[in-house]
Amino acid sequence: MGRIKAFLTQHKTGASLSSLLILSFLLMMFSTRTFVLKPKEIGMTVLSGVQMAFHTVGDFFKDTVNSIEELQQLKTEYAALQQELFDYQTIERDYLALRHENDLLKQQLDFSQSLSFLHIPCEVIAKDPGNLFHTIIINKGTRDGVEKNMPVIAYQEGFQGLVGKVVETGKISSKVMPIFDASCYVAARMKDSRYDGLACGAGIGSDYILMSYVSKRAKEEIHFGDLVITSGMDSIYPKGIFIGRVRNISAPEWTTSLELEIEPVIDFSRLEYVFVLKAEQNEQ
Amino acid sequence: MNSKSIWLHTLVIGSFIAIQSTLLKNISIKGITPDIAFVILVFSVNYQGAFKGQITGFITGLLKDFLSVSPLGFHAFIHVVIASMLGSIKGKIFIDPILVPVLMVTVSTFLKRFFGFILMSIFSHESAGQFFSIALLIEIGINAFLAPFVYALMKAVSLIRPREREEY
Repeated sequence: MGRIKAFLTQHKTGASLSSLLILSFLLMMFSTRTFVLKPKEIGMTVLSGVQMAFHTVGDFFKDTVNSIEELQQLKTEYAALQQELFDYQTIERDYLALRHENDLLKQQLDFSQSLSFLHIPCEVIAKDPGNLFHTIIINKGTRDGVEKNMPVIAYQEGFQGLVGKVVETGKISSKVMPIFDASCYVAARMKDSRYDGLACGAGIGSDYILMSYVSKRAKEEIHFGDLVITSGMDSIYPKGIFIGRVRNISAPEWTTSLELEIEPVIDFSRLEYVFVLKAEQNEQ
Repeated sequence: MNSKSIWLHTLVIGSFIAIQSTLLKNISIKGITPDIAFVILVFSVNYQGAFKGQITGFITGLLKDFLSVSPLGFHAFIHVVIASMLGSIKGKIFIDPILVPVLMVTVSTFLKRFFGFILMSIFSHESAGQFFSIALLIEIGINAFLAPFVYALMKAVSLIRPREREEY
């Protein structure tokens, strides 16, 4: 007891400060009655802080490990999806190609049914191996009824256009001379103005047909883009098949007729299917 | 070189005639298709010499005639003439990888067109047209461009081999 008294005497300033502070605190506690000290809560708060810290650290490592695993899984899934996408792209390409082919064949079938002549549908299988002649080789020959000098037409962009004529026949294939060959002549007529002329290929390297022997009187009545058809006069080609459109008109002074440059309605670079016409009318 | 090589060269050229008339039919500039079979023929006949080259040229020319609308013997004639010319200079010129092949093919394509024009004119074929045309330039251009590649490929597959010493 004496020792406590001695300590308090010795540190009386500090002791009074502590006492007064504690007293003030207690007074505040009782006067306000809002401060409720819950030791369990305090302990839990402190400990849960530690727990939180451990949890955060644990989560960090867990997430890191999980991320690596997830990354590997994502990589596998990505590769699988990429393969699937590639498969779908291939399927889509095949589908588009099939749809295009289907449309094309449907068009050809519709055209085939609407033709008034008996005809043999054929596929273009080859072209001339050299560059000195023009030939189109088709997959039908004498076995299928193809004969020399039969006219050949095709259907493209809504037009039935003249392709040429059969010049040689084999058992299972035939050679067709296209109208742009310099040795191919066709009796032609202007569709609107009805002037006659003779269409002839301009030869290798040219993408047009020359129409000559058109009366000079026709100059005012012929315009660029006018359609030219077969006249059917004294010819192997039936009447009314489209040949092409006028793209240039010239009237040389030294001749009595016009010379017209005709752009074929058939695009020979993408010719796939053709029809060989027989002389007889289709009775169906 | 024995007769087997003639048939081998003929077979390769014949295959290319079929390929270029079917698979390559849509690769063209203003209607002119690369004549790879002819380019192979040029190097082949120069390698084989005049006699064997002429046989190869004749057979491959006939193959072309069968598939073309040309009169039978038309391409055969042209090939034989060119084969005899190129075969006669066998071993007399050094063939580098680029310049000489281009030159050989350029001259040969020009001669092919020239003899074709002469023959068509003699036989009054309507397709004769004009000799100097854009088609001539395009064909020479395409064939000359392909020449070094075809030459390198033929060497790579041992269709033609470096000459033996005694041939020089």
